[in-house]
Amino acid sequence: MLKNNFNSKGFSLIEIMIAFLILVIAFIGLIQAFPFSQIMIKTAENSSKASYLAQDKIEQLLSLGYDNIPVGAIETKQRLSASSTDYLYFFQRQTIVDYIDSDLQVSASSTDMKKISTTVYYTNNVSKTEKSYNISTIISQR
Amino acid sequence: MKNKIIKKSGFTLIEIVVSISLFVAIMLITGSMFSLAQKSYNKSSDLAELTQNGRVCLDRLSRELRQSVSIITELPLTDDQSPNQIFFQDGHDISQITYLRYYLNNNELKREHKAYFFEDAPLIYVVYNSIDQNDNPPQEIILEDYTVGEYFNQLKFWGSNDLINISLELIKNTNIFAIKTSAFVRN
Repeated sequence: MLKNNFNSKGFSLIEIMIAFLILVIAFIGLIQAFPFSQIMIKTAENSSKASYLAQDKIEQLLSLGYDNIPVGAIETKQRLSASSTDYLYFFQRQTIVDYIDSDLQVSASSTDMKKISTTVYYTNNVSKTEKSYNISTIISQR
Repeated sequence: MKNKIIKKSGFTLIEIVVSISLFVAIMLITGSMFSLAQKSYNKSSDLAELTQNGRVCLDRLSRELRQSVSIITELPLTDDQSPNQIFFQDGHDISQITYLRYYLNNNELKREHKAYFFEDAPLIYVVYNSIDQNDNPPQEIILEDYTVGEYFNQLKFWGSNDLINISLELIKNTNIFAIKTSAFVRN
């Protein structure tokens, strides 16, 4: 009677240890969500930086005026800073200027419209792949 | 009989030690999870706040620079020795000559809107470096002066008077946010 009573209530040590193990596994899953969310924020941050850096090049070209904007690959894809301690090192930029016709199609010959297309490349920290941010603008002969 | 009752109720010392140590272990893990969640939350919200502040300030600053009629601050061609403030004529309302100045004050980015006038005609705003018939400079009136953004560590302006490069760096609790762009003065 005494033995029976003792066995039927409470948990055995083994049961507790198994429950504990399941809890730890669940916690590990949760813990991994935090660095992931920070990486997501970092990627969003890089995406905003990339948009400003693309805008940066467009403004530089627009300031030259229509006639002085060279046509062709103005900037081949390259890092914006040579020093790896600078945040700009992690951004690469490429800029292409083309003549376009009235249907906004690229034209080989000279027209009165130029299209500036800037692409900034940065690393997506989640998938470790390269992402890009592209903006284009059209400038015409005044 | 007495012996039986004692055996039936209560725990042995080993049982108590095991249950307390399990309790402590669970509490430690839960506690460290809690503090990790807290730290992660703080870092995320700091980074988001810095990004937000940087974007809002840079958008506003570059829009007002693009609108400006003339940039008065002499800008160096490269970013070394670049000034951390900029003074320019406001191009938003050209019916009156007013000026804007963006400057850093104890980690805050401030925007000052001001105008200049001569005492005999206080309602007519004049150019900042004009002089009256007695060669006296005009009086200054501050129309507005307020904080646009917090956590600023560095603000740089360089370039020509047509194309202004802007670089800013924000810091909050060891988190850094740096951004760079340029504005072409169109007016």
